[in-house]
Amino acid sequence: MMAAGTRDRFVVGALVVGLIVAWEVASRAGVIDPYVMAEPSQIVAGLWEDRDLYLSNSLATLRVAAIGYVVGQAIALALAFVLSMSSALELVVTKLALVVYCLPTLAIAPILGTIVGLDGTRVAVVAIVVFFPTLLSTTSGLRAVTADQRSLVRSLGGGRVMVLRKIAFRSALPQIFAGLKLGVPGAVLGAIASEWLGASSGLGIFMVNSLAYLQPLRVWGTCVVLVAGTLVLYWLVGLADRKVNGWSEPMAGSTA
Amino acid sequence: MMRAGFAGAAVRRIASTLGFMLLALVVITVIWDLSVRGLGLDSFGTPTPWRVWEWWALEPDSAEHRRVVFDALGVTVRHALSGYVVGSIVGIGLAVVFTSAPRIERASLPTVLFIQTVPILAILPLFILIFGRGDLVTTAIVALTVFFPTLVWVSQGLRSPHPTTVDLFRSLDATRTTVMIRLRFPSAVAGLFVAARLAVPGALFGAFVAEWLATGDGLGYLVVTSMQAVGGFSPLWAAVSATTLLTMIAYVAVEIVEAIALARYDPDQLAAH
Repeated sequence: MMAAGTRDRFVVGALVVGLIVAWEVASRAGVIDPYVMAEPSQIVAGLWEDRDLYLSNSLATLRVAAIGYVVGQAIALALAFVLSMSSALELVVTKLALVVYCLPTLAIAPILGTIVGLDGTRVAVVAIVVFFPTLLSTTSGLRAVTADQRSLVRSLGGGRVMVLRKIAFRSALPQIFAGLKLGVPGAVLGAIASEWLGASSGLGIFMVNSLAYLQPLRVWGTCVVLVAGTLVLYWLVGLADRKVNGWSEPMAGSTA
Repeated sequence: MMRAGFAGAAVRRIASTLGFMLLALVVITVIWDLSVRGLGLDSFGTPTPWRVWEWWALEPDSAEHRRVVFDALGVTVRHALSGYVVGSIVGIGLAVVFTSAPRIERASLPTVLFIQTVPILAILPLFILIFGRGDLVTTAIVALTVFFPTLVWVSQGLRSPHPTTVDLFRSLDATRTTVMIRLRFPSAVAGLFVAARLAVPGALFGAFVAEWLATGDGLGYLVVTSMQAVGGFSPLWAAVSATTLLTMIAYVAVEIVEAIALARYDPDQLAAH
């Protein structure tokens, strides 16, 4: 007898499989437009056939996403640590960052292009997209140091930096990783969107071109590759999260 | 019945947001002006803020320029609004369903998380393939962007009443529907607005990107066309500025509506931020 939770997931899984099968049948029968809703079997076949194209484009996108991700997260983390020293400064910078969030990143990209060149712009777009969530979650995590913990460090002769290093950083790790995880879809999105500005290769521009050249199979294929890739990356960061934070209780306000 | 103390807190918060936004606008404009003149970008045709203002208000064609931007702005607002309404309805509806039937929630959660991990805007061409290039695709994109934060935060709000309060209602013979409407809904109002802070700028950005790639109207498309700078880049910068200002105004509007709504439904939350 399966547990209720497992049984429910099994039902959902079966529903998804059923949906795909129904899709295949309906497409073959012409019930749904087979041009737009290509048959799943054809999508898979196309993926195999064009595997070189998908690989090279994926690597191009991944390169930009990875560099931008590292840059954006590094700046966000560094800034969050600096800000945790002064709550007034933190308030001001957070509100200013809110304004940057309102800026349409994609629209200022051409403007950035004249200053840092095309590649630099693509990395910058990704960095901006991942920056804000990590900044928010890290500052929030660093703030979670309790007064008792602070007094303890002070009584042992430590200053603000010592509190930061010894306690705040460790307590904030779960929140930091939450920001790191959130940054993955953001980085992928930023990399893809920046390709629309005129890159020569990458999954984003490949998908747009496939649409323009009336190749719906490739549009679907790119979509599958993108979704699978994003999930894999997200899962990888999740692994790191569990490894680093496996010890922590998932409750707010717990003391180490 | 608005309690004076809570109203004061709300007004202070809105004033603080407005103040910071204006400050940031000034700072950005100054940086803009200094970089263009300092880095010599005006030789590339990059306009200074003053140059854009001239284009906007002082040239003989300015009225026409303004009309083009405002028309595009109206289209973008329309796209964002329709998507926001659809996304909110779905998000709120699902939140209510999930709160009433935890089993359905447990079963659907992996699917919902899956949808959310994938960046919708990245697979926009697929949406164009399926939904075409008209208003339907922008509504679909924006709705998907808006739906998840709304679901998360409204669920949070619906669940926030203390179990003892629920028991009180039950002891007075309230049906589950009454509990939902009279107790849970007011508590969810705060959650809806927390979601709106993310969802409203998100909706505008989603509309903007969808217009860029798909529909050929609105501010997104205006930015694309003005990138092929025929008469200098002023139109581009004006369009970008318009988009930014629109998003800022929308955000402040959310805070104002939130203050009014919370004053009516959940005054304790007004001071809580």
